[in-house]
Amino acid sequence: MTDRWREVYEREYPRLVRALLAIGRDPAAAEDAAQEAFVKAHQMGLDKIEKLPGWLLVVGTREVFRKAKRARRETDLWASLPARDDGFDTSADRVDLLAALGELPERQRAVVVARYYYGLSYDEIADHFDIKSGTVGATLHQAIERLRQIQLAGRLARGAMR
Amino acid sequence: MTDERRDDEILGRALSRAIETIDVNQTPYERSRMATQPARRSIFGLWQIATAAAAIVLALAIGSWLTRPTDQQPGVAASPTTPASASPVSSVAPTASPVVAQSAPIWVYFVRDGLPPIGASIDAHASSAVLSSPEGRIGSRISALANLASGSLPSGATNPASLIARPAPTAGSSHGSMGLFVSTQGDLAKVEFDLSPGWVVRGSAQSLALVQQLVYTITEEPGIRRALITEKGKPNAVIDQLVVDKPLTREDVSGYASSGSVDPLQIAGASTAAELSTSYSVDSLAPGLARFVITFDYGTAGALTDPQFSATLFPATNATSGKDELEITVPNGSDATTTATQVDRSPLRWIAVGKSNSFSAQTYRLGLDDQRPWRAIVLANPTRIVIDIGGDPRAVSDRIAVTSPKAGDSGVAHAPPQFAYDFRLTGAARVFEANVTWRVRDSAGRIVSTSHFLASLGSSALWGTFDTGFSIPAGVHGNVTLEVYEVSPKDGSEQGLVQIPLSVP
Repeated sequence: MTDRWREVYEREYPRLVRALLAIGRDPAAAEDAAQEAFVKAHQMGLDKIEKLPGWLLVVGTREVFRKAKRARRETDLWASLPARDDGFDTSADRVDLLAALGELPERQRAVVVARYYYGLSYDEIADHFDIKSGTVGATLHQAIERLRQIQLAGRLARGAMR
Repeated sequence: MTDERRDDEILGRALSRAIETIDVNQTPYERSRMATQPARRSIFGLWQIATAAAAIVLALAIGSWLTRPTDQQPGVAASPTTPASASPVSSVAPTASPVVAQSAPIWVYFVRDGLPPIGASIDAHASSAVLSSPEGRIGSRISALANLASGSLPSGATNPASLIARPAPTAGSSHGSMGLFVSTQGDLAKVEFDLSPGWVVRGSAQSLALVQQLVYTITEEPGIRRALITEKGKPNAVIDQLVVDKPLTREDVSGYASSGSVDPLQIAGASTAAELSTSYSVDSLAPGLARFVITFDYGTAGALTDPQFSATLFPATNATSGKDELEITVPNGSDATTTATQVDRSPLRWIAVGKSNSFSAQTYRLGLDDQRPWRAIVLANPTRIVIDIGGDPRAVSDRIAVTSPKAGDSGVAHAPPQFAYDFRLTGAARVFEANVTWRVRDSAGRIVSTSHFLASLGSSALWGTFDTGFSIPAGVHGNVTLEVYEVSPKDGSEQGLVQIPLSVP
């Protein structure tokens, strides 16, 4: 049993932390949430969980949002913090994209990551993130469109400064 | 695919690649929280759980087998690894002879009309060798039930298993007998009954009650969640008209329309530091209901009404008692209590108190008999989290839980003749816009009164409460039924219906 968990953990943990980092932008919170998600999965049992990667992402995302909410309420500093870039790749385009993702509302961030990084289907996203199944496509399109605008604006700004 | 969609896909994939390049610390598995968590149930000790097929098959004969072996009692173990024995008890260890039976407390279940089974500890008479294997313990539980004197039952409970061991005398034998062949495989226990006079129970109510009792008692063994009951030489068991042909879990037979949610409940409230204290009750508010209350003392910070907490129900795979656990975590809470409480009143088996590993949070773990429906309610002045587990299955659905009236209540006589009897209607609900509908049907099924009211909360993760009343018009007598439900905002259908039988004089 332990071996199965080790295998699952070693396969899924890095991906999960990356996704949660992209969603929540806080490395410590992402790792904490990923660890919590595995603990919960472990408690639930492998055979009880259908499609473990998606399950871990959803539970981890909830955990990240919960922590973010608490942090906001307790300190109210969240909005004034500069964008975190700890551990991000330095390649400008990638940073751009990830930074642009950070500008989206948190729910859109989660949906975008679930769709494009985890490859969850529209139905799975609707199910897991409490969105009407008909609106997943529209939410995604909206988010990507916004991402494109932000990324474009960033490029223009950099170009202007050169 | 439209151009727009294709463009979205391209950007989405670029984003995916960007995420994939994020550097992360790969905490090794050995240091992961999952692997380093101390054995969660260690305070109660650990049973060895048989994960592979257990090869030991044990035969126990029931009846007066301790003193009077008869030809009818099977003494042959079915497993080739265990030598056949003329003794009615073939023990796990072939050398354990003579077998000395000892008296040991063992947990079994009894049934109550319309309610889930209720557990109790009784004495088993078996050798320590028998009691050292899962199969032996399962057999011993059933045999202890079958031999139990009728005087030692929990109040209001019955023991259908005693019927199958004490059949009417048959020709050539002063008493009937029963053989039991128990084997386990993973989380499944197979129990084969060899009954000389057949199942003695009659009628669907008694048959169901027996199956309920056997499934709960068999699955009491740690690591066992499913029970397959068969008759010797057949793939199934036919108890009167009831055919049992597949493994059953406690949830299959508990009588509740739905199982308790295993989705983690996360309530995002204020996590202000607070001193916590707890209390619990079982069966006092409603039969089959366990209530666990966490009371907040914020000291000088004053009263807050939206505490942050989480609650998760999951299988208790290692616990020596209790099949499932409900873990409640209150961030920033602190409870001076550190000792665990062995409650052992169905469905609440034990309460453990501890600090969460991950952050400064107070954690409570409730050991439960099964995954019956549960709900969380927050009350004010003082701030309390109320966790209700179970209740009368007739009065509990996935969205409505009525605590008053109880089944069989007859209300309070009303003086002016327009309404004959008043009932207080209390409970909890989680329905759209808090709108709860009720109606009363008379014994012929006619609706004699109907209305609706608002619970304190609508469809949130927390349940709202209600405390209202209803009256039954004059001229309506006898058996009436209170029905409480939600009218679906989608299509007007009735959702989460509960039906409580009442009796108006």
